[in-house]
Amino acid sequence: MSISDLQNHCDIYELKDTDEGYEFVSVNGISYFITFSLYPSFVGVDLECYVFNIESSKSRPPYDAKVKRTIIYVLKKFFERNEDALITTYDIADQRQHKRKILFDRWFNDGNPGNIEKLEFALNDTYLCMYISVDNPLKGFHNENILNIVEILKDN
Amino acid sequence: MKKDKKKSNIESKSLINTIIEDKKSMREYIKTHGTLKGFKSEHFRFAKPL
Repeated sequence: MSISDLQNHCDIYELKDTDEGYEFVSVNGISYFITFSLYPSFVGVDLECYVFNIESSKSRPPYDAKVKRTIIYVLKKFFERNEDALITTYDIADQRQHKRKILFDRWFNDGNPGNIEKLEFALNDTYLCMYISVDNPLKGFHNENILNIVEILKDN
Repeated sequence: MKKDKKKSNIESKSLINTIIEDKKSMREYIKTHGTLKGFKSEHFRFAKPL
């Protein structure tokens, strides 16, 4: 389903701009917070690398297909407008990181227009995933940087 | 050259741990305040790339 299809059918929740990023409220009254964080510590990387995060006001919110479509919409819009990379990690607080990853993988696969590559690394307790356009000329350099991070964490 | 690479590795290690800690902090802030409004971090800045 294309972005215009989604918009035309009003099939997503209304996104609100905030100082911190984007926010929407589901039909269940649960608030969702979508953030893109920029870390100055990405030294030597000529490419913007955003840390993508989704949080909700309720832990373990019930399944809501409209939430999924809204997140997919945000991801599609990001890669339409940016040639930058996204990084995600999964919270380990309640040991549900694997389930979170499976869910996000499903959303990503449903929304991937085919030109976004995912690099995935299992760390000690969680996962690190990086998403980048296959057309990005700096992709190789970025991959090397991520591999360095993983190597060090595995050594600990 | 080797020295530069070593420095980059150390910074990267620190960064990934920081990202995980920041994620926890945001979750805790939302749990307490019901919103992310007002959340500040000295490690990163929020961006709006859409």
